[in-house]
Amino acid sequence: MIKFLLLSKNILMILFILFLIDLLKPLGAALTVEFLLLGVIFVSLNKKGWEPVVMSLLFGYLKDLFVIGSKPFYLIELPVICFFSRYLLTHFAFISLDSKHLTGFSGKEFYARAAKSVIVVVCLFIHVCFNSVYSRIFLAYFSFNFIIQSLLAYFLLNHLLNKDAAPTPLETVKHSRF
Amino acid sequence: MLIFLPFKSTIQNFLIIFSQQFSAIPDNSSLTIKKLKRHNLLINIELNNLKRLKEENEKLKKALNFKERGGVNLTVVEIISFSPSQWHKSVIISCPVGKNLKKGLFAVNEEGNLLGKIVEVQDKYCRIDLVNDPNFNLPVFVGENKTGLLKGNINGAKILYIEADEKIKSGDEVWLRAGSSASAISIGKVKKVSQNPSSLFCDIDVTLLFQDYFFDQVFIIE
Repeated sequence: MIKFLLLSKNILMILFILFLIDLLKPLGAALTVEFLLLGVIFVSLNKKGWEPVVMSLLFGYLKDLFVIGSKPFYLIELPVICFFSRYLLTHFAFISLDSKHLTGFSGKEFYARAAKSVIVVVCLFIHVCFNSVYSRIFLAYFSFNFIIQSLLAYFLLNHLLNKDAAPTPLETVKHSRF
Repeated sequence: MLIFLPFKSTIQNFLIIFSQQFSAIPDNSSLTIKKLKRHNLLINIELNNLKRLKEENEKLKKALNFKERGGVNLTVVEIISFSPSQWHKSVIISCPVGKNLKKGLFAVNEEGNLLGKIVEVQDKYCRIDLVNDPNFNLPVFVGENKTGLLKGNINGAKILYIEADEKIKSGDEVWLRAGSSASAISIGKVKKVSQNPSSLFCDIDVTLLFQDYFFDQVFIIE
């Protein structure tokens, strides 16, 4: 386990910094974004293997420690989002292999980016649903605000972190069940 | 142009030497500049510290005014962290040494507006639910002496269980009393009152007086 954590220390560091930003809220209530969630989605979409799952479990547990109530809500939610985003990624890549229209129209890179953006929105929507059910409160404007701001923050995060060549959905698929 | 070419290098050398005479700075001058830059940096740091201390002093003066006006005992505590979830509005504070903080005590800002109440006490830290947390419930007064239950809802708060014939109007103050002898603690103002025909009670939205999260200290009313 320690060896595994040492190998993925960069991801660990990034997620820990995002978690600290969530805890300290340097921008106060001006920004309704959960950076750790965005980090987990980013890692799920850009890393293969068990790393994203282990990281989501670890940081889900950490987040639960700082949120009221002893129920392991984020310990379940973050791995679910991780699995779901990876599943959707394989699904999108599968379509791209078959659909000549989409790949021919926009190119692989654009398609991969568009697919990832759609997955991020779906994951954010799942997060909103989970939390609304858990806290038994649904606020349409707040949820919309959260999704829009999170999406913009994800693009910024992606731009900052994804400077090295990350595996595209097609590359990820080669190592997965397809 | 050809006439001047043989003198080109001579003129260039002359110009370089001439410009060096003006631009070259003796060693002790560059040292002085470095020293001044360092000094300037230190002064800026000191200035920022003083500004921060001034802000803190103003906050404490306001808190002192509230303490004297309200007849309450206040304890200043530092905020350690906020809730990492956007659906939970709570803060973790450090427990001051020698102070016996208990569950249910109210937390206010320096102006005496309610921020939340202590919901969990541990040896080293306490947890405060803010007024806009969905789990926050508190009996409050509205207007003169009508009572209802304040419930947080992330964006603000609502007041439940006030009957339609109570004549609540927007702009009415929402407040509570920390003790029998203490003065009122303001929470917010009624924003909107709407009546659901299928319900006995009014639907009351509240605008909270504390709006921002940019605070690093809270005052606990003992």
